[in-house]
Amino acid sequence: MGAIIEAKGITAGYGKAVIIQDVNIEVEEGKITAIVGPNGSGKSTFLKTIFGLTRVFKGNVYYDGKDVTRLPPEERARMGLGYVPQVNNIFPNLTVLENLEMGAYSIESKEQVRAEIEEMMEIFPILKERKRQKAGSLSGGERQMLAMAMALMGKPKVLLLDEPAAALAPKVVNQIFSRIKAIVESGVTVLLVEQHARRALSLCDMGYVMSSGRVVMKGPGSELLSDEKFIEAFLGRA
Amino acid sequence: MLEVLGGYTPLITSFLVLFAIYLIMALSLNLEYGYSGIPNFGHVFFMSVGAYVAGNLTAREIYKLSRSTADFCSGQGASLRTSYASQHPALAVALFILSLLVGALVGGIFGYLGSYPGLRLKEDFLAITLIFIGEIGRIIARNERGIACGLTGLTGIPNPFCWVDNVNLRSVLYTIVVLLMAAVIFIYVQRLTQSPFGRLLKAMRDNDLAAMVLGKEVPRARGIVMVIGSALAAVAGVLRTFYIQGVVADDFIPLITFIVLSMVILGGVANNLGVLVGTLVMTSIDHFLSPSFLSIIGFKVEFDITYMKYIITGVIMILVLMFRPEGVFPEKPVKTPLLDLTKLKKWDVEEKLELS
Amino acid sequence: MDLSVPLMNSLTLGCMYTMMALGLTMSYSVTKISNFAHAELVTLGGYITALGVNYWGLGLPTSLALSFVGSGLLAILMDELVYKPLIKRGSRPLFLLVASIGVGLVVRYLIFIYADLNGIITIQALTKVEVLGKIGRAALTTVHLWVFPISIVSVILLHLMFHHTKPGKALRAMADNEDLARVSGIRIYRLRRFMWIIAGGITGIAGGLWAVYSIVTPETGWMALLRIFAASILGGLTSFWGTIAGGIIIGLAENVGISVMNEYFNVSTAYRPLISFVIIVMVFLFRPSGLAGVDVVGWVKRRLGREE
Repeated sequence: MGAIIEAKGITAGYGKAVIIQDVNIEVEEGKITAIVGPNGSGKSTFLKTIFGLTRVFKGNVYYDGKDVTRLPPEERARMGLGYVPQVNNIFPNLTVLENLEMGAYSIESKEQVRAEIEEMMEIFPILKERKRQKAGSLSGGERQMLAMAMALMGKPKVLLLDEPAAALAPKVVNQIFSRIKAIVESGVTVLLVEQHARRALSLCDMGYVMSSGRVVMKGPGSELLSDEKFIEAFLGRA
Repeated sequence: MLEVLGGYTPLITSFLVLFAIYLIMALSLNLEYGYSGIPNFGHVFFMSVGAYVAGNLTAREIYKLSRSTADFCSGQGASLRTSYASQHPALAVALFILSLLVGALVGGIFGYLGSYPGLRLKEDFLAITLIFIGEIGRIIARNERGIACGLTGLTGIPNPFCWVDNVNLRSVLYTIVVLLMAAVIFIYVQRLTQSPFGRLLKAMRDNDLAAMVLGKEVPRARGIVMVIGSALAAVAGVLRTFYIQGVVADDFIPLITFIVLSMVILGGVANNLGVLVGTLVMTSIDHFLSPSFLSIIGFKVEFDITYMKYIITGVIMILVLMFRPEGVFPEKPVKTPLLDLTKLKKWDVEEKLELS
Repeated sequence: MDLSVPLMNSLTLGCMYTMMALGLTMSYSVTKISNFAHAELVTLGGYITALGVNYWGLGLPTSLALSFVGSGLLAILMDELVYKPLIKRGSRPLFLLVASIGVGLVVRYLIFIYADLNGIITIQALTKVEVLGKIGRAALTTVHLWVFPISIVSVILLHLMFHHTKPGKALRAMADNEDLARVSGIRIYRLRRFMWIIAGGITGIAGGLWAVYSIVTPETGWMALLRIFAASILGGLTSFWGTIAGGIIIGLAENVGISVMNEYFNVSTAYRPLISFVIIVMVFLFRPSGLAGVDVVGWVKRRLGREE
């Protein structure tokens, strides 16, 4: 088991602005990697960079051994990367069913798509209830589930999650995190970005801490949690 | 000197007058769009306002004073007005000056009204609305005979120097007047944009956050800009009317705004000197790519050469936007003692601060 | 007063405006460009059909198909040469609008030159027009037999495409959220070209129908642009059915409406364009989303519910 995703010396941002600098992060295959840190530390930007949605000034991104730094996002998706954004993560004017279909866009076979939709509706029963409704009418928690289902439709090898528990009721947060555990158990690699540092670190195998656009700490989740410096600096705020 | 220029006089004067009028239009559009970010693509409408004012004020006054019995809109009426004016020099000049003043005033009023859409609409929707406002104005003018004699247009608006016997001297005198006006306006606009007010405009244009903080200042400033810009366009309209000695509603089409826009874009958005150069270039193209000029130098094409002119305008617009959107002469940074933080976007500021 | 003639005109023109506006709505919702060169897609379609019927010995159906292809290709060309490069350089919507004005100028006057050289500044597709019957005082002719079925079939096909085919749904997804579409594996550039062909094509056919119905000049598209924008804006520039409603409303307002105004308030028919303009301003100022999101079926259901 090696690193399925490697970011080496990444300096990236939007337009002329640099948001993250000199970031080196490795994601081990089959494990959960978490990135935590305060607001504005560049965690989301890093996730977007893995997917190719930002401007890369310096550095490279490697996926499954290949340099994908210049590859467009849609090609990365077709290589097995999945992404659940924090906001704007569903197509509001399409129905729930259509959203799921879009998630499986790269799959040719109609039967396969149909089978997967069935599967998703088993896992997330609320989607079955609302399948013909426009996704824009769903509540926050429902959207999160739809977004996750959409990403899973493509049968990704790696799933990138941007603050999956943000602004959700505690009961829903539990559901989400147990779902994430189940996903990893099924063999999917997970890269998770969270502000709920405690939760994310207790779940993950490897953790990175970012602040002001740089990586400041790294280590197994349990170690970070018990590190005094870390507790003082970040958990106080989380 | 006139003897030296001789036969070339009409060529030179027509170019210079065209240049001056376009320059006034371009400077005012630059004020609205370049400095303040108001995409007034209906700019030609405000020019037409000045033209209609000049036409009606002058022609009707002469019509009244000369106790003319001919039909107001007819050619006969027109020539009667012209001959009357050439016998009354003081009147001709007075009407000219009055037209300029009233035209600017009315243009300004319409400009103020035209600033209202800008309060609610986003940039490209504002542009669409303003283009179509201009078109509606034109449609109304061409149908209401009272405004500019409908489709045929109102003629018989005598040049302020119509009492001068030498035709060449007449046009030279008028050319000098027009050039002087353009120069005065250039200096005025330049001083306005280099003033604190000009800095306010740029801040408003570049940064929505600053605009929100400035609150009530923004709509007021925009209103002022539209008033000034439209008044200047109206002045250009007045000058044009006295030059061709007539006004036709269908002359004031969006195409004119687009040509003026290409001058602003080419020369340099928010750079008055750049706009001057842009205007010079486009006026040359406009002037030298016209059938009359080409026939003089004996160059003949199978089709109407005016088409080529518009194609070139379009190509220039596209090329400039693609390769040098700031224009040939880019905007000069605002002169303040400190770095103008309102011009930098949020991320740039963070980046700049991080380096220390 | 007998409104049969204005009504007939409303429907005929409404159909053509709707097709043109659907093209604009499609391209705007996917690319967010207020494309002023859309006018030229109409003009080109008109010219191709007129030339096909009058000079190239093609029947009307073939000529219309050719218009579809021609305008579709022109649309792709405009995007690949100008719009896409500008977007890659980070242009704002306003710049794209200005660029589209430039593109429109170039295409329009190229058409002018071609027309001038061939003596066809004004042209109309000369098809055999037979009067098939009368509705009130309005004549139903073979022209209507082309316009109505083609526009209705086009609308149906478009709807089927958007809701029952993968690329169609992907286009709607792109209109909602382009980044998310890419993340789902949608190849947006390929799909964008597909969109331009369809949007340009349907506009071209509308132009071709116009050439059958009336005369076409290089300015035809530009003059129709005000109405096209009005119809599209009534649909919030993004709604399919809103645009269709918009096209019909414009058609009615400009024919029936102006006839009524003419008869009772002595308003000259030359003020027709004013109606479209007033509509645009009203929508922008009071309800920028236009008719988008108006749930007619739901409204009707609720009313029936109350009545019981």
